Amino acid sequence: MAAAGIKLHPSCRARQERFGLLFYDCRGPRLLFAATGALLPADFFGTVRSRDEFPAGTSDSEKKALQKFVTQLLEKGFLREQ
Amino acid sequence: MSNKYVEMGMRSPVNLTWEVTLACNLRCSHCLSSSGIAAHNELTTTEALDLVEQLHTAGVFQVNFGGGEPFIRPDFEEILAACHFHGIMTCISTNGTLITSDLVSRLASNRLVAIQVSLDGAKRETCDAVRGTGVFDAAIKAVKLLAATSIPTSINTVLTAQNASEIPAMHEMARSLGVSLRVSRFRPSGRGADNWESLRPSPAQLIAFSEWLAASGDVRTGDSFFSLTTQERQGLGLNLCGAAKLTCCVSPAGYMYPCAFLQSDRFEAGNLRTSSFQDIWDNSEIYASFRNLRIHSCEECQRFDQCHGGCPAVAWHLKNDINGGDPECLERCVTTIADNRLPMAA
Amino acid sequence: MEVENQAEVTCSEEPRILEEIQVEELAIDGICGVY
Repeated sequence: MAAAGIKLHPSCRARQERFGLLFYDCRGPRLLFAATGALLPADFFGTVRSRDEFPAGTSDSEKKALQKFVTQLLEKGFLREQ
Repeated sequence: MSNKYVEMGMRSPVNLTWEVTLACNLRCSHCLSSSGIAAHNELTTTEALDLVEQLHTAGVFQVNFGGGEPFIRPDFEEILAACHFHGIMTCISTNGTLITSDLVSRLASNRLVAIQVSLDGAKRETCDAVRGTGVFDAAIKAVKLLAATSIPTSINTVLTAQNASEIPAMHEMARSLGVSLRVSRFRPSGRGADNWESLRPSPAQLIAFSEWLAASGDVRTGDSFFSLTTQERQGLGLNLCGAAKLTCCVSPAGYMYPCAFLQSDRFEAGNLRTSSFQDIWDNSEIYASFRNLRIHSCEECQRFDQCHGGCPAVAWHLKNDINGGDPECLERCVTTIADNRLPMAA
Repeated sequence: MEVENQAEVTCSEEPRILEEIQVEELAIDGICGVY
């Protein structure tokens, strides 16, 4: 069965910084600095999202970049499918 | 690893050390805070809970609790619960002597806490010489109680001249108990300053430890040994001091400092009774000076990119010079040994 | 000229073409906790 969506891993947190989002994974521990600017609010992945769901007003090129970014976050374990 | 984003400055610390009390039932000879009797003006429960709210607002990810012995503080579990309510992860550094099965059951009821139990030797006599009679057995008992739960648990060992040869055995002991090993760097602060000469590892011991660490990737160091980091451990931790950039310290009385090893008036960044946490983080001149700190005297060193001048706290305590470069970095250890050998070779 | 990969937060008159979100990982090991 396909995953319903994606969400921040329970061991991870995210917050807004000047450059974009800062992710923290207490399992490493490790940090991930993401130059998302103002594209995503820090609590965006706190609720289950579909992989192509982004805030209103996101341009097509931004969506494409964000989709790649989401894939990276999944691969690195900061997000998980559920 | 570029540190580009760290250099930009963080909105708040990633984690912080909060010494919730100076009270301790032990009198360890290497104690960084000279713990024993509670400070007379420690934060009240209301003030501590207010600080937790501020940390949540600031976006702090993790609080590392120390002291003193945190579990001596009657409201400590209330402070912990407030952190966990906000999703703040916590790590408690404890001597283990007050850990009971009831306490462990309560702690295990949430998934946001990790615990490190201090133990300073694989042999009872080595550990108890530093921490006091009976502490080794009490700490092992605590580790066993914790290891039986889902709480991430580690043994935390301060590397000293006396236990340096026992570190591999401690690693094995931790493994056999089902927990991890963390080795922390001994620094000359608190009672550690009084006993520095007798406890400090020699340059040869530091080099041997660095080599052992290189082959022991699962051993944690709390980023305290980045000045000894070999190529093999590059990428496993920081390559610079995180004080005032990624972390800071809150004292029992609500003073803020760059790190736990620099808790003196000279390094006071502010007081939470008169300023907010965010205001101190954003506007403290001391923090600004640490963010701008460049150890120019180390820039020509071949290892500069690996440690950026090492631990400013050790430089301060040993050389009274925050810009002086870490006197016990790997390069200086090697040089010291080579210099000592020269007269013999001549 | 180098392609700008980083998300721009400043306004520009041209529609923004964002190639990729720049990410950087940093392993930490506790950041100097106490003992």
